[in-house]
Formats: sequence, structure tokens, C-alpha cells
Amino acid sequence: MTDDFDKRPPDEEPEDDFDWLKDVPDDDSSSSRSGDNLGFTGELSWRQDVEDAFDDQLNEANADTPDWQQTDNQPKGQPGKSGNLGFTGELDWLRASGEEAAPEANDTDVPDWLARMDLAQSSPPLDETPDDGTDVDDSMAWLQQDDEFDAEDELEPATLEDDAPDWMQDLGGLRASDEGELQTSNALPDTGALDWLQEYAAEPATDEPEEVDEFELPPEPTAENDVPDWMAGAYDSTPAAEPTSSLFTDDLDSESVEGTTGTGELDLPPWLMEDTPAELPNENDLFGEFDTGMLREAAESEYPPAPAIPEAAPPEEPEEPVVKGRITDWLERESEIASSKIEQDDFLNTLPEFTSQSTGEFPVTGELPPTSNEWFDESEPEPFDAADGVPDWLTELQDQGDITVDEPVQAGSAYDMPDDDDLFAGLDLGDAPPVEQAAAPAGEFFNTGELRNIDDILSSYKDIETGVSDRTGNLVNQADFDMDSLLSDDELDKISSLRQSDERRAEMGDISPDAPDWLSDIGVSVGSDDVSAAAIVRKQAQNERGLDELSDQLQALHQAGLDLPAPVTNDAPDNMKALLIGVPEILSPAPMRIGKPALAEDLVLSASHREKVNLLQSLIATDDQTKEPQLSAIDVTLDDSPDLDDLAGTSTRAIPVITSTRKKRGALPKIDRLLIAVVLAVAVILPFVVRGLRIGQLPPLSFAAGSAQQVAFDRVANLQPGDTVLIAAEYGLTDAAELDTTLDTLLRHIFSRGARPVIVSTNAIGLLHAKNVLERGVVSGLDVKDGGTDSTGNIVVSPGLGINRFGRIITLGKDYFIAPFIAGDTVGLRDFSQNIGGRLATDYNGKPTNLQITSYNDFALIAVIAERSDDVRRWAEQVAPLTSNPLLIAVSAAAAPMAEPYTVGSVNGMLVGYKDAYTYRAILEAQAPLAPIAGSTNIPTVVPTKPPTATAVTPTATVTLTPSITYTPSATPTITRTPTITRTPTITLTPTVTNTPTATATATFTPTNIRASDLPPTWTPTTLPGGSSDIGGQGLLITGVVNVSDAVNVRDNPSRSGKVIASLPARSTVQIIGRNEDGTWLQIKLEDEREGWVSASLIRINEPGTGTPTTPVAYNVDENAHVSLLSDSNYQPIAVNLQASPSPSPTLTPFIPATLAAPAAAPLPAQGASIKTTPYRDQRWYGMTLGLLAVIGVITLGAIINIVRGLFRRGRK
Amino acid sequence: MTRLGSALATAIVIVVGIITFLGLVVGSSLGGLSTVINAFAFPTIANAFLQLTVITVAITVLIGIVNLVIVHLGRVFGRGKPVSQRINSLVLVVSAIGVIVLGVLERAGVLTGSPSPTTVLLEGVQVSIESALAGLVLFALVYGAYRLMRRRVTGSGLLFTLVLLLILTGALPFSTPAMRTVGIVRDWLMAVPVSAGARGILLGIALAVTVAGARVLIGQDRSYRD
Amino acid sequence: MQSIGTWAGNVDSTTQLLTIVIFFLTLVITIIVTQFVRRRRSLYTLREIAAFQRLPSMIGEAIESNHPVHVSLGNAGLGGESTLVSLANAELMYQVTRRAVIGTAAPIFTVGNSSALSLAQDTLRRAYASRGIVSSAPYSSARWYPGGGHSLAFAAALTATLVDDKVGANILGGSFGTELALVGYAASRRNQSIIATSDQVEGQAVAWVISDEALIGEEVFTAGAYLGESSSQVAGVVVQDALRLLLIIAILIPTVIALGDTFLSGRFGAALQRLLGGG
Repeated sequence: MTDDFDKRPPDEEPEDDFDWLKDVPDDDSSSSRSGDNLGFTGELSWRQDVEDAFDDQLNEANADTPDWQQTDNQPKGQPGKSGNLGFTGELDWLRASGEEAAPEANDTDVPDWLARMDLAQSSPPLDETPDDGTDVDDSMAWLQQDDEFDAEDELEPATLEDDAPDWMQDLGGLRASDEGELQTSNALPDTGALDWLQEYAAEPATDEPEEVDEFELPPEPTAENDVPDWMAGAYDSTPAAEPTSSLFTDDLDSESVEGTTGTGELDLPPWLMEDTPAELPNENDLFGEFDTGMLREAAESEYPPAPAIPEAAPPEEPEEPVVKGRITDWLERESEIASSKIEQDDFLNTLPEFTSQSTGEFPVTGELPPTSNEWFDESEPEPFDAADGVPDWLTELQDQGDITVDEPVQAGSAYDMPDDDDLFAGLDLGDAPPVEQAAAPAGEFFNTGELRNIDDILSSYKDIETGVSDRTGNLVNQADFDMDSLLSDDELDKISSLRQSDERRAEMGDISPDAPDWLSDIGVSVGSDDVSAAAIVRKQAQNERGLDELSDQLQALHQAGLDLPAPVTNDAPDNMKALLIGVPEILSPAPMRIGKPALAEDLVLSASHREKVNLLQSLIATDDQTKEPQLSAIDVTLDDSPDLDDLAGTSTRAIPVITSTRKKRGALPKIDRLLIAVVLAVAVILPFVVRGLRIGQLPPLSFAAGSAQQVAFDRVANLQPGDTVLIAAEYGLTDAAELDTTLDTLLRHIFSRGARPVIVSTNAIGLLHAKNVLERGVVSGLDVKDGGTDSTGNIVVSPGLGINRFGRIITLGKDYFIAPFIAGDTVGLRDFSQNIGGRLATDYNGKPTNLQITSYNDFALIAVIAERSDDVRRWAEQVAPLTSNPLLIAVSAAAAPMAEPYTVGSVNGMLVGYKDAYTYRAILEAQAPLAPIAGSTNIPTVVPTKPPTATAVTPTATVTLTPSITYTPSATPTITRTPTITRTPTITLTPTVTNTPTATATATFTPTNIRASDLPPTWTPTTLPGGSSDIGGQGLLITGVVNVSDAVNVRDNPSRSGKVIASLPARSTVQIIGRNEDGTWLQIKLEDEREGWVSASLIRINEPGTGTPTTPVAYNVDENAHVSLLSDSNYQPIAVNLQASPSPSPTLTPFIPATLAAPAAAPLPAQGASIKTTPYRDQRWYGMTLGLLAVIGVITLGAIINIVRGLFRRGRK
Repeated sequence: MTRLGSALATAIVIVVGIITFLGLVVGSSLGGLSTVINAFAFPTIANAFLQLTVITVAITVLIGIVNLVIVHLGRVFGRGKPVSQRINSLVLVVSAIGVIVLGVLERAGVLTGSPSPTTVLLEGVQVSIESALAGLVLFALVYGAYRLMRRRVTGSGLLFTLVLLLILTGALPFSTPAMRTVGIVRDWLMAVPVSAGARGILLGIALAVTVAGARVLIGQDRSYRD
Repeated sequence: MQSIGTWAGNVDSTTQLLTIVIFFLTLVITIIVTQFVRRRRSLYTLREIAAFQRLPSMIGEAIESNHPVHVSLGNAGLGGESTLVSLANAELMYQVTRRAVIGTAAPIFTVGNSSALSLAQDTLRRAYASRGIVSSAPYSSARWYPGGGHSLAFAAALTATLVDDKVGANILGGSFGTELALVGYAASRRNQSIIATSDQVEGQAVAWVISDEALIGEEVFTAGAYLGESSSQVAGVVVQDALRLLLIIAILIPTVIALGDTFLSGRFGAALQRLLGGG
């Protein structure tokens, strides 16, 4: 077994995934290593570098960023997602390296990787283009472009000495790291990167265009950074697109390509003349920031992604198409486009495919990953968000629940900024330098016409943006304005005016023939000269709708390891041709993102880029957005990288339609939260003050016979004076509100039996709280003023004191004990059980208890009051086996279901929640006053004494006041039963009875067993001397008490249709003189001698007063006659137990059940007892009832709302 | 930790674990096994281990208090901490120390009075606060159920909501025939599917605990190895 | 020599024997399966658990947004019956921390049971050590908030932590009761993602409602296998499944017999007895 950890095979230790990280050269500080391990700290610090610049530009940037966000329905990440976006590239890099590390010995991998990086720095650029036969012409063309570009480069330094060097240096660095990029990308497959990468790796970098193109195809996300180019290409669509469109007409040939590039080159000089000066300053800033932000990171090589950044940067590398990062890939692709339109088609299809894929996958993804998107979707932003100066567009995100409070602002935006500067500033801000940055590569690879065009666009954009930002209107409006403005007359005029230039003319002349066809192809109904990217794209979007078999392909892409996209769809080519010039460059890198070494993407991927690409894709593709796998650094460092479908689905589901509903989204949750809180609070509180809202039935006033509750009551009622009871108060303050009543009631009952509770707990707070409940609730509730002290000093409580009749003052250490807190939960409890005597030798204050406890068996009863089923289990498992007395448990309603199983076996008797506490308390309160119990020996004296006529049964009367055992003589078979207890009321009726002269009379009464059925449904009682009614001539006075807290109606006949003739106040006592046939209505006699009917369910019938304190007399009452007078709710048949036992006389049998039947059927205040009722007992119950109704309503409403919303959402998708 | 240390730790865990287990489980009625186990006084040793555990656990409270104070003092005086954080931590530290001092003084008999100061604190502060929080729990639970399917409408979500509503409705204290029927359904739900599911979960946890215990005993758990 | 006050002294010898057999059977199965799994690792593919799939990206999102990851053990602690639950959650905590270590915001551990504090700190140390930066392990990130079962005070403390420390992701394991709802509510209000579970039924139910992805029952015990890629951990899962099968069979057999006897008025049992040659 030990070898298990001795060996530790590589795959056994999670560290293996990361071991390679430890192989980072020693010069790395540990902290930086931790950072570059997963490349976050570096990123974060990099963010810090550009933070200032970002802050300055954010305000401007926000002006346009929202445009994009408003315009596209792009997935908004949730907290960190925006940051995540910025990192995805890096994450991909991590994914690559992670997969590098995972499968094989890691330490071998990373050194390789690092070595590769080093190699990259020094290895000469690989030039594969020459090998590519089909690309020769193109590469030639590029070389030409390159020459011109060099001249162009010359120009820039000339105009700007200080910046040019940096910039050139950057280029140098970029060039070097580009090779690193190549190395890495080639190395990836070896290191177990994504399959498609492996396949790609299988092909030498100088593969056929297809291969390279295939390599290009998958990465879609990286398309973002091409957007400017694309916009450029698309924008001056006419000149630029014409040649390209010819490329994509089916009869494409390489000559046309040359023509294209050739014509393109002609555009360059004028553009440079126009724009370079304006661009340079900003460009310097750009590259300066770029340098500090990323290149320095790369130089430090603290952090793998950093080296990546430069690799992505070098657009200005005409040579080494493949060696380049993405941009050079475009270059190569451009050449391939020229040589093979199939490849172009392949790629072009990937886009709509990829996007439509998300739709296809949505149902699947709907189940799995970050549900939090939806979850957060409705959660409103934190109040203090606004204070964080969150830009609107980020707040917008946040309102979508996709961005956490304030960090995302820093994270997301920070991540965005550098990329924005590098690639999108041109689009976003219309700054010249970005233009330069974006245009330069385009100028190199594509036709220089694009360069000029992009400049036009950017300048026009700038106009638009400023126009928008000036208005600073609604974001949506901005978006609309933005797109519309692309077609605005101003725009078209601007564009056309630009194209009126001479060379432009000439150029147009050359290619004008193609223009109409191409324009007609895409159906852009604008002049052959003037067309905007928006027009094209918009048309494109229309044409593209309907592509949807791509889910399969993306499936293949995922499962086969991001394989090559399937062949083109029929309509794709035409559609995409329209965008040829721009689209491939822009969109082809996007698929690359997944699994591609993120080195390039670190630079380009950012939230805003993503948004922009999604805009393009939303325009080009179908109604759904491209899925952006929400890869995190963590995923990619693990073998089990998450299912891309899920991730994609996540982002798909996360795609919010950003409209002006922001306020609504933000406000709604607040409102419904508030409403729910108010509804619940009001529902619980109102019943306390509004009688009309006290709906529902109160808990029964007695337990069902034989129920676990009745058993519990009886077990306590059977306690003998002096018994010791162990009370485990295993509940904290959480459930105090529910269980305090139970504890209080149990303690009162225990004290009333003269027993001594010992309180223990494994919950320190619970122990202290129980102590307080006992001392402040029960003991201080003892009211001794109602009694006097007898000769022995014991307080003799006269009958009729209600619940507070413990018989003497309760003192700590004598009548109750608080044991020390039991630490250690189960083990502690077990330890406590081991030497319980020692543990109980002292109380929680360290004072001796003098308890003679050696085992659990010394306790007459062990009661566990628990809030959790676990507490019950703990006691049932650890303590129950150690005692012959089964436990008595009282649990909260929540714990009841799981605690119930223990009621079989180790537990006997169970009380659940407030409901049972209510009933238990009601029984106690209803009990007739007990004679004082002084300790366990004194037999108190009772006044008044029994009437002489009772001598025949004196033993009975005497005995019933003492422990039930001595009762044996008279009530032969049933004496040993709990009935004895509930009989006490009968005995203590003495006072009433002795005052009744009829007592003697009835004492001699010969019992006759009259059955209720023998009686007429209603009868007229004959009033006997003394005012008691004689039912059936038995001299019985039957009274009842209004058993509801409200007044009840007295009707003139036994039905609800009866006319109300009077009203009985709550708890008032009435004389019952009859009943209807089924006993559901009782006939009563009002004080004014009027007679009426009251629903039996509202009346609790008192035990019939008898003419004698002796029980035999009571036997005159026929069971059925009595029972029939009980309301259904109060009648608890228990006769079963008794009929089994032989009765001395037939008349014995009936009464006892009747008495037992209704423990509640006991003397009430009417008999002179003062009962202390729990305050707000009923109101609390009604509050619970109404609160329950409110809860049900709220949950039902929520379910309906969410179902409808779900359906609507699905329909929308 | 060195491999030797790991081996040592593992060996200790295995020995102590087995001894404790056998000492607690094996009674006197297992014939030879009982004889052997008792001959080596495993039960006594096991109980000794248990008492050590209880003592150790009690001591950790002191560690916890130290940690509490250190952590939150750090939050109070740490740099760059938001004011709200400082205030929260300050209140926490002050009240914690205050209660401790109060308890000590009370034990020492310096502070007397009925009810005792700590009792007043407990009832006046903690009980009232936790009672308020308990009310919030209800609200949080209801709100959670309210928005349960806001994330997505799923079969399980629907089922959960349906059962929840049934059980809540069945708990209503009305005695109309319809409510009685719901009550019957509720009782059945609570008695059969709910408790069955709950016990299934508990059984699963018990199994996992057993396996985890076995893994610890055979040194497969890394928690004390490195 | 067992005094009458002990478990063994109050349980019949059959139960004692069964307990011993089951335990050592588990030991043996664990050892054998572990060796087998380590050799045939590829044979065992773990079923997908949404929470574990979501966890990495969840942590990544928190890190990338510079938010700390918050892991709580609830009231689980050492020394009690929740000891192994604590250890299992410590493994989850370890896996989470190893991922969260890379962030600038150190992960936050909260425990309600002081005995779990040392465990949390050691887990923190191991996680940082696994990155080779044990020296920078922020031990004060492990915080103890006095709890106790169902402690709302503990839940309130967690709620405050979520706000003060601007937590990005919450992994709430260990032992929670219904008070878990408070934490979940606070987290959802702040768009913080949650993965929650509890060894208490009450807490488990709440966890299911309030979390983005809930771990059910024993799933938390498989964290090492899902997140750690350790074959011995995978072996633990396999052993669990094996024992689960045995348990199911053990439950089914008497059920079938009882049903058969019910419908065949006892003849089924008799037939079985004859078949098995029982007396």
C-alpha cells in the first residue's frame, strides 16, 4: 500500500500537469514563475502598464466601444469573462502548453518549449512561400509590395526620428519572436496539442496551400484583429473588391490575382503622402505603449504569453508568410486565395458554419456549463458599481449579469485596450496610427488600395464617431447611427470623392468591368464606385442566412480535435466572394484561436475585439453568433479541457440582445426582491393585528391517541417526583424560534412532575440558550404567590393555578442542572457517554452537582431537542445503545422527515416543530391544577377535603393525588395505564362538586348504561337543584368552551343556514343541552336562557361534571353519549386499549375511554383554574399559515414567470 | 515532506487507525478476536485516542481565536483595505475580545449579576441577530426557489418546484376535502420519494466516507503526506 | 473487557463482525482496485459531473477578473464524524487552490469549526508548495468564523467576506445547513458563481437551489479524481461504485424475497430455502 505513494506515477499526481512549470529557468523569481506558469500575473501587470493609457483613452474608446456592443449580439462573459475574453488567446496558449505538459513527462516538454522560444529568438526566418508553387506569382507581387513598403518604412523614420527606431526595434523583436511563433506553432502538435494542430504539424510548414489554409481555417476568434483590414477592404469595396471578386468568380485565374495586387500597389504612394505624417505621432505612442506593455514582457520572458505578443504583432513582415503569426498567415492565405478559390471557399464557409454551429449546439449547451450566465443574467448590478466609474458599456455588460461588480471593468477594459491600440484604434477612435498599424500589413500583403481605403474608412469613422459621441445618445442609437452612417450620403460622398482621384480613376478604368458583376453578385444596389462595407456586409448577412449544417462540422471540429472544416456549402462562395478582400484576412484567423498557440492571440483577443468580430459575424453569418469558447487558463492547463460545445453554448446563451432594456434588467430583480420580502413580511405580521386574516385551523388541542406525540406526552407525564431527566438541547439560535416553545413546555411539564432536568448540549450556544430559556422562561414564570407553604416549608399550591404549579421554588443545582458543554460532536458525545458520571459531577460553572449518575440508565427519561436530523442520529447511534430507556426526541419540522426513522427502536415519542409544541402546551394549560409536589416524598394536603359520601371510594380520591400506582384497588385493569394521569382532572373537580348538594344524591345513583343512541337527538334537560342539567336524568352538567380565538355564532338551527341569534365570545363557557344526530352541532343554553346551536367543531366539551368526586358516578355517562358530544376534532378513540382488558363492571369500560379520549376535556377557568396561556400562541400560528400561503404564491409566481421567460427565450433563439 | 517523513506519517496513521477501529468495534463476544484485541488493551488505547482527540479539538478553539484576531487585525491595519472592510473587521475583533474578557471576569467572580452579562449579551445581541438572520434565511430560500428556473427551465427544476409547492400546500392547516387530498399526497411524498432520496444521498456519503477512510488508512490520501 | 458503556458492548457480535468485515473488505478492494486502475488507467472514464466541468473555468474567470476564489468548509471539522468530509473537501480545496494560486488575489478559506483551520492552512501550504512558491502562501487567507451547527452567524460572516473581499467564485463544501441560503443569496446578488454541496440533507437541498452547479452527496469525495487526475483517486471512485453496487444488491435481495413472499404467500421464501438447502 505504501508503494502507492512511494511510486507516484507521473499521472498520479496532479502536480504533474504543472511540473514543467517548475522547470522554468532559475532566473525566474518564484513569484514571477507562479505568474508566468499560468500567465496571469504577467497579464495583469501588463494591464497595469497600459492602465494609464487606457484610462485616458477609455472615455474616447467608450464612445465607440458601445457602438460595437450595441450593434452586435455578442456573448458577454460573466464575471471575469470579459477578462477571460482578453485572455482566451493566452488561455489557448496555456491549453497548448498544458496539453504539452499533461500526457508525457512534462519536464521534457517545457524545456522544449522554452528551447523553442530561444530558438525562435535566434533562428533565421523560414521562408516557405517560394516552395509554394501556386503562390509564386503572389509572392512576387508581395515582394513588390514589400519593396514599396520598405520605401514606406524609410519614409516614416525620416519624418519621425525618435519613434522610428523604437518602432523598427519592435519590428526586429517582432521578427525574431515571429520565428518563435512559428516554432511554437509547429511544436504544438508534438506536445499533444489539439488534433487538428497535430495534423497541421504533420504537414511541413511549407505544405500545399490547402494544408496551410486548413491550418488557417479553424481559428476564427483571431479574426477580431483583422477587422480593420476587413473594414478597409470592404469599405472601399469597389476598387479593392473588384479584382478580388474576380478571384472568386468561378473562372478565377492567377492572372486576375496579379492584376489585383498590381492595382493595389498603385494606391500606396498617394495614401502614404496623405496620411503618414498625421499617423506617425500616434503611431509612436502606439508602439511605445505596445513596447512597454508587451514587448518588455516578452523580453523579460517571465511569462510565456508575453513572447507570444510580439509574434502576433508583426504584420510588417512580407517574407515568411508561415513564419509569421496570424498576420503573415493572412498573407499566405491571400496568396492561396489568389491561387485556389476552393481553399478560400473552405475558409469562408467556416465562418457562417461556425456561427450557425452555435445555434445548433445551443440546446446541448443549454444544459451544461456556466448556468451562471443566466443566473447572473437577472441579478442587478451592485449599488456601488456605479461608483466605480464603470463605463456605460461595461455597466451594460454587468447588467447582463456577465460582469462582476467593478473588477471586470479593469480586467475587461484593460485587456481590451492594448489590442485596441494595436489593431482597432483605427476603427474605434479613428486615430491615424492604428490605421498605420492596421493598414501596413494590409499594404504589404494585399493591395495597397486597401491601405488607402482603410484610411478613408477610418477617417470617415472618426467623423461618425465624433458625431455620435457629440450626441452621446443612447448606445443603441449610436449603433444604428453608426451602421446607417456607413451608407449616409456624407459617407458615400466622402468615399466617392476619394475615388475621384486620377490614379483611382485609372484603376477603376482597369477593373471597372468586373465591378458591376461583382456588385450584382452580392446585389449591392449602389453605384459601381460607391459602396460601403456595411452595404456589402448587410447584403451578405441576408444572403447568408440559412447555413446550418455546420453544427455537425463544429462537432467534428470538437470531437475529432478541431478537424478541418467540411467543404463549402453551395451558396457560401458567392456570398463570401463579396467580402473577399476583407473577409478572409479578418475572419480566417478567428477559427485559429481554438487550440492555436495563443502567442499571437494574446495580442489580438480582447473583449472589444471579440465584440467587433461578433458584429461582423452577426452581419455576415446567420442570426446567431460565433461561439467563443470560454476557455480559462485553468482549463487549458488541465488534461480535461472543457467541452467546447458547452463553452460555446455558454457564450451563446450569454449572448444578450443589448437594447435599451438595461434599466429594466437592472431594476426588475430589485423590484421582485423587494416585493417578495414585503409580501412575506406582511403575510407573517398581519395576522397578529388583523383578525380577518387569521385563517386556517389551529392545531388540535390534543394528540392523536397512540401517536408518537401522545407517547411523548405520556412518557413525561409518567415521571415521578425526584426523577432525573436528561435534556439534550441540541439546537442553536437558528431554530430557537421554533424549538424554544418545545423546550419550555417540556421543562414545565417535567417540573410539574417534580422531576429534575439535567441539560446538556454539544452546541455551546445552544446550551447557554437553553439555560436562559429555563431560567427566564420557566423558573421565573413560577408564581408562588398562589399558594402557601405547609409545615414542611414546601409551597402548597392551591388547586386551580394553571400551569405554574411546580410545588416549590426551582433552584439551580437542586432542581435542575446545566452540564458542561460537550465538545467534539460525535466523538465528544461518545466520550461523554464513556464516563458520564464524571462529566456530570460538576455543572457548567464547575460547581458540584451531587448527581448520582453512573450511566444513562440512571435517567428516567432522555429527551433530545434537535434542529437537525444529524443530531438525532448522533444521539440515536451513540447514546441509545447505552440505555434501556428509548429516547424522546423533539425536532424542528425541517428535520422531522429524516429523524422519523429513528422513532422505530431507539426512539419512543417524538414532537415536531411548533405545531406539536402548541398542542402539548394546550394540553398542559388545559390540565386541572395539580396538587403541590414537594420533592418526591411529601404527600401534600389538599383542601377542601372530600365529602363524606365519598368515603366508599376515599382511597380513590386520595390515591389519585399520589403517583398512580396506589390507585390500583379501584380501577382494576386499567389503573396502570396513563389514563390515571388524565383522570386527575376528574378528581380535582372536587371543589365544584362538593358544593353541589346533588353530589350525595348522585353518589347513590345506580349506574345505568344509557347509550346515546337511546336518547332522542335532542332532549330537554331537566334542571336539578343546584342548576346542573340532568341529561337523561343522570344529573350531569355538560359544559363546553368556545375553542377558537374568535367569537362564534349561535344559530337557531343546526346548520350554517340557520339564523344567527347570538354570538359567543372566545373561550367563553356555555352549557350544552343537546346535539344533532351526527353530533356536528351542539345545542347550547345561553345565559339569557335562550337556546341555540353551535358548530361542534368550535366547542370543546368539558368532562361532564358529576355529582360526586368519585369516579364511579362518572360511569353514568355513557361513552357514546359523551363521545357524541365531542367535536370530531377532539374525540380521540382510545377505547381499543381498554376494551382488551376485563372490566369489573360493564359500566366501567365506557367512561375511562371517554376521559382519555379527550385529555383536553378537563376543567377550564370556568371551574376556577387560572390558566396562563402562551402569549400570541394563536396569532403566531395564523402568521405561519398566512406566511405559508405567501410563500406558495411567490414560488408559484416565480415558476410561471420563469417558464414563460424560458419559452420566450427559446423561441427567440 | 521527505519521503521518509511521508512513510512515517502514513505508518502512524495506519497503526493508530487500525487500533482505534478494532478497539472500538470489537466487543467481548467475538471469541478469539476479542481475546486478542482485549489482550492488547485496544479498547483502552482507542478510548485514550478519542479523549486525546476531544482535547485537541478543544484546544483548536484557541488557535481559532488567535487566527481570528490576527486575520482581522491585518484587515484593519492592512494597506489598501476598503473602509467597510476595516470597520467590519474592527468590530469583529473588538467584540470578540470583549466577550472573552467578559467571560473571564464573570468566571473569576469579578462580574456578577443575574442575569449574567454574558447571558445578556447572548440573549440581547446574538439571539436577536440570529433570529433576524433566520428570517432572512426564509426569504433567501423563498427567493432562491422563486428564481430557481430563471437560469434555465429544466425538467428537474419543474419537478422540484412542483414537489415543493405540493409539500408546502399540504402543510396548510385547512381541512377542506381538497386540502386533505393534498395532505395525503404530501405525506406520501415525504415518506417515500423524499426520504428515499435523502437516504440515498446519505448512503452515498456513507459509502464515500468509508472508502475515504480506507484510503486514509492505507496511505493513499495525500493530505498528510506532503 | 468492554465495559457496558461502549458501542461494542451494546451491539451484538454479528453487527460487530459485519462492521469489521465490511471495513476490511473496503480496504482490500481499495488496494486491489488502486493497483489495477493505475495499470489500466485508460479503462476508466469518469462520468461527467457538471460542477467539476464548470469549476476550472469558474476559477479562471475569477482569476482573470482579479477576484479571489472563496472556499468554505462550513462547519465540517476534524475529530468528529465530519472528519472525512473535511478531508474530502480539503482535497477539493487543494485542487481549487492550485488553480487559484496563479491569481494575484489569494484564495480565501473559511471554516466554522476551529479544528478545520489547521487543515485549511495545511491545504493552502500544499497548494502553494505544488507551485514551488510555498514561501508566499498567505496563511491568513484561512479564516475561522466561530460557527457551530446551523450557525447563522457563520453564514453572516461568509456573506460579509463575499462583499469585503469581492470574491469572484465560491466553492462551498463541507457541512452546511439551511443557512447556506444566505450565502448563496449574497453571492448571487453580486454575480459570484457558486458551486455548493453539503453533507447534511438540509444543506444539500439548499445547495441545489442556490448554486450554479451543485455537487450531490458523495460527489465531493471524487474531487481529487476529477480535478487531480490521480489514478489512486480514480481508484477511490471505482471502489465507491463497486461498493455501491454491492449495497444495491444487498438491498434488492431481501426486497425481492419479501415481495415474492408477499405475492406467493411465503412459498417464494420456502422455495429459496429449498433451493439453497437452508434448514
